[in-house]
Amino acid sequence: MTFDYLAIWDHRDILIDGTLKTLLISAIAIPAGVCIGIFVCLLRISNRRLLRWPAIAYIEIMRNIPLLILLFMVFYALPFYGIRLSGLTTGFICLSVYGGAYFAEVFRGGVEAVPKGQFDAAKALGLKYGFYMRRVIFPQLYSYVFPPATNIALTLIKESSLLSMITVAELTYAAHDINGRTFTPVETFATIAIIYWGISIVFLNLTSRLQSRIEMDPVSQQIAIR
Amino acid sequence: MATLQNTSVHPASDAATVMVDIRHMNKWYGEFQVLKDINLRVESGEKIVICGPSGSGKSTLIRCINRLEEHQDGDIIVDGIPLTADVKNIDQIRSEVGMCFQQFNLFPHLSVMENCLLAPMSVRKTSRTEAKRLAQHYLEKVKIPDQADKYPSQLSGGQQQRVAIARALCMEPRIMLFDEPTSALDPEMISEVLDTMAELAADGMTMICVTHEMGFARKVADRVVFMDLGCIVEESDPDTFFNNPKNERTQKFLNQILQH
Amino acid sequence: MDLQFFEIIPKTGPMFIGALYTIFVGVIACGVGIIVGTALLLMRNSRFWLVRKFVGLYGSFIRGTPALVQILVFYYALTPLTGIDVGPLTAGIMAVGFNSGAYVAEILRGGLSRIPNGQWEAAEALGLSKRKIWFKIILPQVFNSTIPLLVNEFTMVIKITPLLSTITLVELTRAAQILYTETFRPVEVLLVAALVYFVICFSISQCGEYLQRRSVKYRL
Repeated sequence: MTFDYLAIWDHRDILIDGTLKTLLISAIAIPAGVCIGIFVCLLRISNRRLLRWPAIAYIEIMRNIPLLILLFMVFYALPFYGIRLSGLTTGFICLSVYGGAYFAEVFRGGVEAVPKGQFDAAKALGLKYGFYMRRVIFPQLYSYVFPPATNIALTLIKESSLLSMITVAELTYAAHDINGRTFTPVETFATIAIIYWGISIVFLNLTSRLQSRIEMDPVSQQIAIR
Repeated sequence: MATLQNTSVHPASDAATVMVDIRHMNKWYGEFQVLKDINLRVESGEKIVICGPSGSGKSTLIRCINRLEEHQDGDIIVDGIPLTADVKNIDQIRSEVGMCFQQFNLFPHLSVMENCLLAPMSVRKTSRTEAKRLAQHYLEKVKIPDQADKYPSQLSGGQQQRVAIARALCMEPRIMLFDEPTSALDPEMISEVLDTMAELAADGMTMICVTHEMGFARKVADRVVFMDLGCIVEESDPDTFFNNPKNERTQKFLNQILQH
Repeated sequence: MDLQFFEIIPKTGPMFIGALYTIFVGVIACGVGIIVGTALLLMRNSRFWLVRKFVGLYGSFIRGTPALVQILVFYYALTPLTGIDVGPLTAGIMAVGFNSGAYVAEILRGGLSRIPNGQWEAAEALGLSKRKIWFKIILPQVFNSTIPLLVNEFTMVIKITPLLSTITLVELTRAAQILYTETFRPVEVLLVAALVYFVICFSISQCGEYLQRRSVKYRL
């Protein structure tokens, strides 16, 4: 079996464009997902059923259907209602919305990990909800939620490859493109696998450094000691 | 000796104001009734100790006073303010009522000083300098002024609980609630907290304590309340309570608890 | 909102066949995943540095690359590599199975770390062989304690199956695509597909909770 890597090298510009697209998509979808996650989490932990149930429904739906179906629904079905979004926009929206549900669950887990007594003490002191969520609860959350949240972020980076199926020119699409020209599926797909692998290694490296920095912070250490 | 700035003497009325008035209060957790027809009046300056076996509802009772738990039936009136679902009332009541918990519940990510500053600055909009002065005053009162910059995890259990007391006092409450404040402490640290509480009592603070510390009850309480299975079974002054309890259940409980 | 479910209902036969396909592939792939995952777990404790390194790299690769890419690589590389004419079904199941295996290995590793040392010590003191200890004492406890996570992984496997449509497997998503290009009714078709996935995954997690409740008595 021969490996024809020259063919791929010739088309490296397509690969580079694809990689950059993938990174761009992730860089926008992840923070958006986090914001949605925070919002949905607050709804999810609310005492009012009217706020809680939509949040639960949203989370359960996103956790039980494949992202691909969601992408197809937004990309192929919405036009029937007059909403025609580009592949890229669809991708952003779907990734953020999909990721948001997972982030929401992680944040909820973090809130529940904070001892109930913290809420009691804050309320007994007369602190208002918004204030104590920000100043008492959230700072204690951080060390709990960071590791699982980075996993979700990494998943979103990988899931961006699905956008190739709605014509977004990210990395996987680039591979299909090159393969279509050079008929070297093994080499192209193996190459993008390596590129994705590289991205994930760099990402994990950065986040674990960030994690250590957080753990070194005296505030987190106080929380961890408890 | 600096007296605590508060509480027992309401400026506009005489010394005997009713601080907490609970009338026919009932509470259910779903189908299960946890508090049954509770009637309790606490006058200004009084120290009440509530005791009873676990599951008797004593913690639930005091948690209802500052709305950490909600009662479904009956009235609770705190310093003239009726306790209802009205958020304004709840906020007002919470600024008059201070609470200390079995697990201390200090905020671990804030220093001792910051723990004490947080509420006055946020709720009463006290300036930082004034809040610091208050905090310093109460930290001295609980005898740990030098630990102001430490974090809760660096303190012993007894120290943490005393910080919790100071933190609650910084809001200058008229009533202090204590929910088994010494139950989570190692024995050698219990007395430092009880001494602090006794001093607080001597300064005239209205106090309601749920505790198993009968020595404290005997010395400090004006009234001892015994609860069992959600009802107030007996309520009398410490002498009568410990020496001549009127109710059989009270006697049984005392026998069990005074074994050691 | 002009939803015409009645138009598509009679034609949904292929979709439900696709759903059965999805479940079939999911179950087999999950089985492969558990075997692979357990194997990786045992290999992590190997005496040979090379084996341990391999496990590490394998996990890093699988968890660091998109499932779609893994499926494509598997599909295109398996036939030339092995010389056997591996059809899309086998290649697909293998890809998903090996993918799942890496995640299962991680889950089991977490479960393993929570087994108290005392279990090993008691078993060794009783004179049991290493193999017996692993298979009779340790692994049962590991699986018992990780049921919810393993069930969740099964759900993940089901959610990966749509990607197999890219290698010509007609599972639920592909069947849905075919149907809506034929009937021009993507809204109804995709809603039905989404519903079917939801029902499958939700049922799996409900079963998982049932198993979880029953497993409690087998734990410390």
